[in-house]
Amino acid sequence: MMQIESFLFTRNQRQDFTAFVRPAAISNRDVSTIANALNAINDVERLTRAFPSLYGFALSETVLFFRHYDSGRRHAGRPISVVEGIGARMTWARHFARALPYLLAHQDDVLNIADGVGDIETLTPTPSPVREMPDRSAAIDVDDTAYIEDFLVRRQAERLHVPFDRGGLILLAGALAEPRFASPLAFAFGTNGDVIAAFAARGIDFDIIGTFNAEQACFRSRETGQKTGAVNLPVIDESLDDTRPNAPIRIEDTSGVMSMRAQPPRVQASPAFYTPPQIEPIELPPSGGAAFVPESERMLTMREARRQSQASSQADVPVEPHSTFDPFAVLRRIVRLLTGKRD
Amino acid sequence: MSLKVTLFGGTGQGKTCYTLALLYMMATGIEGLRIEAEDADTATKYLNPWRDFVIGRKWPAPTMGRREDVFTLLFDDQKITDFRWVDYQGGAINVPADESDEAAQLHADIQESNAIIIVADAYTIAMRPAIEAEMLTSSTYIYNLLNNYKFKPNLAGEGIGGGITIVLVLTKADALPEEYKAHNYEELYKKARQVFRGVVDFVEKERRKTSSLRPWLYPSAMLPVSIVGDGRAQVATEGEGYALASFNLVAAPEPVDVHYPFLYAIGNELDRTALVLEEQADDLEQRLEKMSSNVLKRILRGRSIKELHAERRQVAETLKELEPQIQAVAGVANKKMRPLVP
Repeated sequence: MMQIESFLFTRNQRQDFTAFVRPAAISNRDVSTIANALNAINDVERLTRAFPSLYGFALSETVLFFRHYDSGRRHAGRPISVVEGIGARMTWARHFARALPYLLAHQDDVLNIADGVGDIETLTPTPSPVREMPDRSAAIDVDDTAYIEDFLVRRQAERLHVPFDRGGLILLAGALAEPRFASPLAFAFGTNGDVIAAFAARGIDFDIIGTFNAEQACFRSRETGQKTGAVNLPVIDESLDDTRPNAPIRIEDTSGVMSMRAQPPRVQASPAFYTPPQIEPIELPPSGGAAFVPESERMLTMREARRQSQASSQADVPVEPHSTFDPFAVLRRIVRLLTGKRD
Repeated sequence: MSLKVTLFGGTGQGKTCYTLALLYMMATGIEGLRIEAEDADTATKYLNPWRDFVIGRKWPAPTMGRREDVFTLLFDDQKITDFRWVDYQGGAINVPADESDEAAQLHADIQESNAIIIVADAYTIAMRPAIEAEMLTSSTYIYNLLNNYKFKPNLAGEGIGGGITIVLVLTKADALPEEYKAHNYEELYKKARQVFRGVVDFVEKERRKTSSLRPWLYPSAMLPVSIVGDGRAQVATEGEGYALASFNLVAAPEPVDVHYPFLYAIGNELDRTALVLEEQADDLEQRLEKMSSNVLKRILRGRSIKELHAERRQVAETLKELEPQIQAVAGVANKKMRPLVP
């Protein structure tokens, strides 16, 4: 049995983005690391609960597996995202890594924390309870395992890059199920370069990356980012009902073996992220804005304010009353006295 | 020279939209003034969500953390100053520093900032009762932070030469009812002063002649701006309780006046640099006068006088270089901005 804790980072109307539920070993700084990195996802509406972004890595003393998607809730008209998942102390890292293929296949249940906390609008931050989870493991039946053999050799110097679709997901799951990797694989599936860079700034180095823009699977150098080898995407199974590239993550589990062959390939072009609303043409008034003020009313700079203040202080200095003493008058008087002249 | 400008305000007030619109507008330049990011990727990082906003007509997702980037302000392709732009999630204001890393960083950023830009939703200020607008714009929290980190230390003489430029950006002004737009937004200014009365009162007191602070150290102004332009967004839902009003973009956005608050902040901080230089020049002048008045000292300290003259010349040259830059940046902005204290 492995001990796990929950993580839930979202916002409600009252409180901005907060880790409402978090594992005990996750600090404010750790939460901030996740928040700052995922802040670089501009269009969260493309991430759905059925096909969310998935992240798995070690942070401080915890190994985390979480998802990121649009909750469907809104604040001031803007989409509110949810980051939710589970974590285990580093002492459970091996068990956690072994369970990842199972957890990935059942992400909709095991990562679903938001539904278990009651009314999200009245939620206040609480530490996560510790839960026990039976050890899980699963084999992934992937058609072509050559990329795994390759990755076992290349991992030190290269990363596996996959597209953010079901084909990429199969490759991710296949790699996660491989027990021969010397240490657990860190992955970011459904992400972009800014997110990766932000995590890297905190020393989180991913082994498998699934970016929105990637169209092919390949190996890339960790140092230069240059492509170093190609990887075939999984075989298509046309018999599947749901062949959308971002159809729900659901993997058949038969006799302990998860068949991921039954996944459709990534289709050409990324999904239409935006459906511009039908807009009725409207009559626009002339562009508004505050008016400029006359020069005499403009704001003063600090120096101008100082000069004005100093000038006003000088003006305020009480002026001494005019003296009645007039030295010239006295002089004139003396001259008159000496010359004997009168006015 | 490098300045630090921190942008903050309550949640949903329009900080991210304001930043995106400002950087978009200034990336290609306005009236010879232009902003350059420290690298191409930084610019792309801001331009992408702006593109999504313009083409996809969707508001950017709420900010989840803190973002800091370095930019350069140029005038006619000549560098004026570097500046650090820090943008926050609104909630960082309302959380104790020990509960959030963003909150702790915000406190530190305010202490270190040369200028702060407070972003507040004009529609909320106009349409909600004043006490609710105070809470929703976080004006009381903002005053609390400024008071603790900028006002009180200066009043206690700890940072007597300090001061800070305070700019209040009133966003979503396009959605305001006509009575708030009339007479150059007179009603809006009146209500904004009421909602932000903590900050307004401080600046007002500090400007009284009895104040221990020099009254020009806190230049402060406000301006209504619009990211989308008049008539281009329609109210979708009116705000109630914690929920703010939401808007639908119904036509391509055309930002109005977004660059003036930024230029006011930078211009006044450049002016602060010039102020310090002028005071240095005055001080040198006085020292020279004293020395010049005593012939014997003048003979004995000829070298010192020469050094002082050289120093004064250098200060004057720096000031001469700075002057056109201040004019370029603050000249126009100061004619557009309105005083926080009437």
